[in-house]
Amino acid sequence: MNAILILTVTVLAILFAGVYQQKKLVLPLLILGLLGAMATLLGEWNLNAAEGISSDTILTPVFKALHIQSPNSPIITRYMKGMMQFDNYAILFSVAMMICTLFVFFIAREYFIEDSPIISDVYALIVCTLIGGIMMVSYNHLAILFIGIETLSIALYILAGSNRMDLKSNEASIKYFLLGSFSSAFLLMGIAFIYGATGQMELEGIRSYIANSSNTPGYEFPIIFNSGVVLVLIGLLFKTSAAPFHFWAPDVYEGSPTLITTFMGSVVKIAAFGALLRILYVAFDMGSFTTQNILFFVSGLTLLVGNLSAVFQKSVKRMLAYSGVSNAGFMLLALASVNTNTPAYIFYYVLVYALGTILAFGVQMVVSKQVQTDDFNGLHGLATRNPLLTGLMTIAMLSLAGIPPTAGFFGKFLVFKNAIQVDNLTSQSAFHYLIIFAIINAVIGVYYYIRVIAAMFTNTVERASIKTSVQYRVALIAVAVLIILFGLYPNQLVNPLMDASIFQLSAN
Amino acid sequence: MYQLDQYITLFLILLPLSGAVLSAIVPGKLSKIVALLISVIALAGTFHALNHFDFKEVNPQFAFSQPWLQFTNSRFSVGMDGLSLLMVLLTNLLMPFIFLSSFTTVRATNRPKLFYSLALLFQAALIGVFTASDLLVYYIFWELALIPIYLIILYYGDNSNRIKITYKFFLYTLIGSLIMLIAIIDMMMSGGIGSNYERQCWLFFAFFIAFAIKMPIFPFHTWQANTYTFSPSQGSMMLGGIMLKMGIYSAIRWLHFFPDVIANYSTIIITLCVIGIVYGAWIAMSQDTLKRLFAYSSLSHVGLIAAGVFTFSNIGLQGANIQMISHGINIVGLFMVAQIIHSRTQTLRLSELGGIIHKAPWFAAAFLILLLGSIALPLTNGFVGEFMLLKAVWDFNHMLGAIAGVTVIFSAIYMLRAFQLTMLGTATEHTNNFTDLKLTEGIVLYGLVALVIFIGVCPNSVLNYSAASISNLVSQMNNSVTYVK
Repeated sequence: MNAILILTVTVLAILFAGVYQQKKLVLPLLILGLLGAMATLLGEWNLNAAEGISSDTILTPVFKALHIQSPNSPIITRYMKGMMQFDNYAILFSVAMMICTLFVFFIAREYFIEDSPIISDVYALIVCTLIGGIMMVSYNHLAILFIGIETLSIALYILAGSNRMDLKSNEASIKYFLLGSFSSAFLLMGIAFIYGATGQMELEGIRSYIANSSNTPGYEFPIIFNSGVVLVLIGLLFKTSAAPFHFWAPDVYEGSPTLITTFMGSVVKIAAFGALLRILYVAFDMGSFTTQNILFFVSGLTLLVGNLSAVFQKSVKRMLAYSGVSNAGFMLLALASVNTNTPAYIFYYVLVYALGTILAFGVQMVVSKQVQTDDFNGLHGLATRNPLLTGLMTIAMLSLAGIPPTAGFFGKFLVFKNAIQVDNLTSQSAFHYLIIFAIINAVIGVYYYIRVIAAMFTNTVERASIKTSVQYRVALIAVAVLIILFGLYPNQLVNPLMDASIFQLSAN
Repeated sequence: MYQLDQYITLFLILLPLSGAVLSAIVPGKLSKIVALLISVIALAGTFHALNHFDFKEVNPQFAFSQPWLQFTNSRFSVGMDGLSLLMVLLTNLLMPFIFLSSFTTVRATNRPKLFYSLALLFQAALIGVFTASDLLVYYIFWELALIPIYLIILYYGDNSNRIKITYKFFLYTLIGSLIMLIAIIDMMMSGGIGSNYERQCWLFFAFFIAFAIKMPIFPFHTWQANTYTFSPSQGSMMLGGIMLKMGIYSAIRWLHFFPDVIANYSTIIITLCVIGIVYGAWIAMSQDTLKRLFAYSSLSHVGLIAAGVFTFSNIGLQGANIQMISHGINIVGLFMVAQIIHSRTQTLRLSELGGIIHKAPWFAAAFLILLLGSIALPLTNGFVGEFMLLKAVWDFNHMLGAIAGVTVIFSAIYMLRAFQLTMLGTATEHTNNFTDLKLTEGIVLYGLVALVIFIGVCPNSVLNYSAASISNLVSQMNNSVTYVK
């Protein structure tokens, strides 16, 4: 909660710095604000929930050093009369978003090199989006979920159109706004329906409603509750860009300034999956309710649509947008088979995906700036001109494709593990087919990722090599190193959430 | 055994890995020296392991194991039994030759750092594949090996079609790998292969397809010829000399856990292998390009090795072991020959070559010995392995053994035809100015020739290392056959 306050103050400070033309202050203020917020969040880490398997991650000393509570009290850190809850799940997802935001800021200067008075506005809006994202992963009440999504979305609508002179950017903004409002309306309607059926807007209230009703013999859920659940899911799936709610993604990704696309592909994805998983796990009781069937089909469809569309793209940016759709499909595969381990797996997958996206868009940003196009042939001959950028892009592509030793491999590994585990337990034969289908899609995915690599390593074209700032290079190398390290030591990310008590549910 | 000996395996993996980083950092001209030096040190380390190897022990030696992943209870464990050790020896023996052979090529000199760095990464990954004792560790190295070789072919390959060819190569091998990955996860989830026969069947074929694509066994071979032909020479050497042994080694290492399935399906699989032998030899006879000819001859030879492996008899497996090493040596030598011819004449077409023996007798002599090794003349390295493999296939099924045996004659036909058309006859306009071997080329070719003769004369120096592991493996299989349809 303090983190949100700190970030809000940061937003105001940046805006004032912008008003008084103190451009040099903006980045230090941002870093200070983000680090402060991160520290206060990690300080709320509940060490008691993290016993057992997670005791030996490199993060543990950090948690202990920053710990502000007495070590033995199992307090649930809830705020605003229980509407928000900063449990370990919320903390890790929030910190992941902040780290991604930091990386985005570090590479931002490369994007804004020659202009412009609006830098501080853009930065402030990015932090606003981040605040919305934090609310989306820490809600315990559907109203906060809605407010979080709106905070995030409205800032994003503006950001998508922040390149005012560019027609495509304006188009992206309008499209995103119109479709986004629809999905918000769906979400709100769903919340209203659920409230109507259960009288509850707190997640645990809905959970106990489902539990009680399932225990009553012969009880059927009223249609208003079922449709409420479906509507809420639609609202959230829209944000994760799952098919058939993905149509906005390629246009918005392509039209938005690449920096904003980087942010959308990373931080917003983390927030969306954090929100979706939380409601599935806590409110709908690990998907024991009808949600599982819906997610099953959505996952298959998302994989198919995302992969097949990505294969035929000419623009790297659009390809990455569809790759985002297909990766969402893999995560939905895990959500369709949700169990106690899923939060850890999803967290790993989505963070690794976000890092890969930052790396890919980060490189693509400077390349397209030089060649003034997002097409694949803009990458031609990059291996000869810029070995560093080529290496970074290669790591990003291998990670997104899920090839070891990059972290993307364990992302896919855990998703498949999750699915096979459930498959072995439930012996639903339909799940077999979804897994096989997902493998086929993984191979198709590899095709369009190595297309990027092939484009960089062949067809030498005479162009000047791209010059980049030290700050930019350091940030992207750090991302690449993280991707490799998480690939070698996936434990460090997975273990902290490998614990049934991460949501600190009251026993029932 | 010294205290430090347990780290040899780890050292052999980490050394090329650090070499990969090092040769990327040092100035461009030094990188080839660094790469050669690292590979020679790795070879020395391998010889140290050979010296301290306990011939009677069947469990992995020089083993290193450490907890790695809690969520799957995986350990990072590597170690070498006789089988692994021979493959490590093969890899580390061939890499210095491959690096030396790259010194004179033109194409590797543009961006040499990238090449040497990738090649060392490739070496590390292969040592990892050959020494991993944990399935997940094994799998990660298995896929890691694909990336450097893919990039080498992509960047240094010499044909405008190489993008399409490498797509096929990459995706084809990856499909197999992913199916294997699912089988691995499935095994992790339910603790091993279990006793259910249907389940064993699916696991077996998930592994088999991955290995069959890598080797390749007919009909999974379609990626091979083009990839070999349009790779840079060093890429072909790595692919043919070392990488396809990954598939064979893995078949021995992992498939012997399925004795029941093998008992039922070995006839079909060995028939496929024999088809591969005949098919590869048949096509090789009508090739006009030297590299393509070697590619198809490789398909034929590997078919025989695979047939011997899938008999899962003592003699078949031992024959496969020595033949893997022999084939590696021969194919690297032959691709070196192709590289030398190409660098002098800019062509590999048999119809445009001829009369080289008059211009370059030393070169022709080396080619002849390598070629005789490849067609398995007695006292060369190919003879021992081929004899044992044919014996194994003959014991398994006389018919298949006879067919496989006849193809040895074919191999003499296409190889001698290649020699005749390139070396003998009158010189053509391409070969008129052919010069004899340079120093590094001579070291590579005659080093390999020495190995051809050494292994041909005393094969037991190789076979002894794997004898204990193989006989243990075979007796384990025979004891655990429980169910035969």
